[in-house]
Amino acid sequence: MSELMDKICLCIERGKVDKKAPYPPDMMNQDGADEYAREAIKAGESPDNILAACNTAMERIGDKFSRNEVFVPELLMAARAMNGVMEHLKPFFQAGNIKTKGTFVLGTVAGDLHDIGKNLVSMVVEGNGWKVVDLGVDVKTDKFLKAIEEHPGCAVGLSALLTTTMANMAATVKRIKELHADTVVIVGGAPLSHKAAKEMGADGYAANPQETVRILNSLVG
Amino acid sequence: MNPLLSEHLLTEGGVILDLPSNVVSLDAVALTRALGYRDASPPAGMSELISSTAEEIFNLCEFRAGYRLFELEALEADGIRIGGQYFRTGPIISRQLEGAEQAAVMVCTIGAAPEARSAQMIKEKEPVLGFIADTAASVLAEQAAETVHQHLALKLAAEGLGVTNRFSPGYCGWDVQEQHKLFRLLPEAFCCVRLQGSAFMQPRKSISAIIGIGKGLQRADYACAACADAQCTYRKKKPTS
Repeated sequence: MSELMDKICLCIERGKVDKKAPYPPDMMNQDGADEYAREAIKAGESPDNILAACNTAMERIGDKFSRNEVFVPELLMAARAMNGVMEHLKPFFQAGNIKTKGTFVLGTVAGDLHDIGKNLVSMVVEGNGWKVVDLGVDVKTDKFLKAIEEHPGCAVGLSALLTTTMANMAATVKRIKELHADTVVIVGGAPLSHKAAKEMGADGYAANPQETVRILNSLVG
Repeated sequence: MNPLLSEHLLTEGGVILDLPSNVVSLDAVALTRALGYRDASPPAGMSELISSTAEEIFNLCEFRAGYRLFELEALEADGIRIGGQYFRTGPIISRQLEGAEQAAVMVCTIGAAPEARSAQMIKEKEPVLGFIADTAASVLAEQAAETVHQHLALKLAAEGLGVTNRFSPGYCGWDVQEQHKLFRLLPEAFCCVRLQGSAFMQPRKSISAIIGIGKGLQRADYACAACADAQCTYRKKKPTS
């Protein structure tokens, strides 16, 4: 990895978004992921290499998260820095020069209006190189099914915060699996557990954004 | 424990409480735990972001709270009847209301501004600040509810009565749709909180709950300790000792 790629990687891992960002304090007034990404593109660095550096950084912060060395705010700060780099890479994605890892359709299930957890998952998953289709909150089963048809091969994420909307979640998972048995379905939210996920027929349970990324990345090797 | 709050009786039923911001303080430990740090401390720089964001959210809060007392007309295995309405609370809650002679229906809110600010932060691609702001708003709403709960406990203790834990629709198996029945027991726009068709409250950082009242009743440290439902999905999240 070149020196510039190392710097991008470090900035993402530490959550150094750009020069004006005060966090982390020991990198105050230094260039951040935004500036280094711009510099890398200007220097003719391959977008694939930049993306690889981003992925390495997110893997590192993800590993730290798994070891309880960092927590959700630091994970989100890294995702925020990564998203800044992705903005610079957007033209390359649009031109087809680099590809996303896949599409993740995401929504809070019918009857539930909680969106903060879903939004954070969306940001972290997107920061890890996935295209996210966010269907919003109070999403009926038909809307999930329509999105699956519009995005063949996508994975689906269902979120719920209330114990009582878990029944709606189970119904949605069941219907998705009836019509699209191969579609990977991940469920998450405070009342869920591995056991509940298994019982409703989901392929995975994610207790946090990083776990969603881990499951998704396992799908693409 | 806070002193008794001032009460204002409403002619249409219910009591509005004076809930000045100086009686609801932000519990920094509860906030860092809610942010996921458990017993760890946030790293340098993050602590400052947390405290400055939480302070901003606290200053946006407009605390409102109130309650209405009802005789407990019936207590059955899967629910309770108050105010002529039967609430299918489920066995977890009804078990914990055993011994209650009355029930308080309480509502409190921190207003709409905190959630609007956290949504704005997320929209402006500041997920960390948005997450901290939303979490701080939730912690403050819980602390407002706790203040009301403590007020009721103190007031009723003077009458020789105790209170149970508080129970909200949407939790412990109580269908959130029963919010509609709960709000029918309260004056229109009680504490400036309204129900949406989906049964969610507006402002969203609001809490509604039922509290059992009766001689010899007391709050349990953790609801899970008093609950026999070994399969409850929330059990794994809460300490039991």
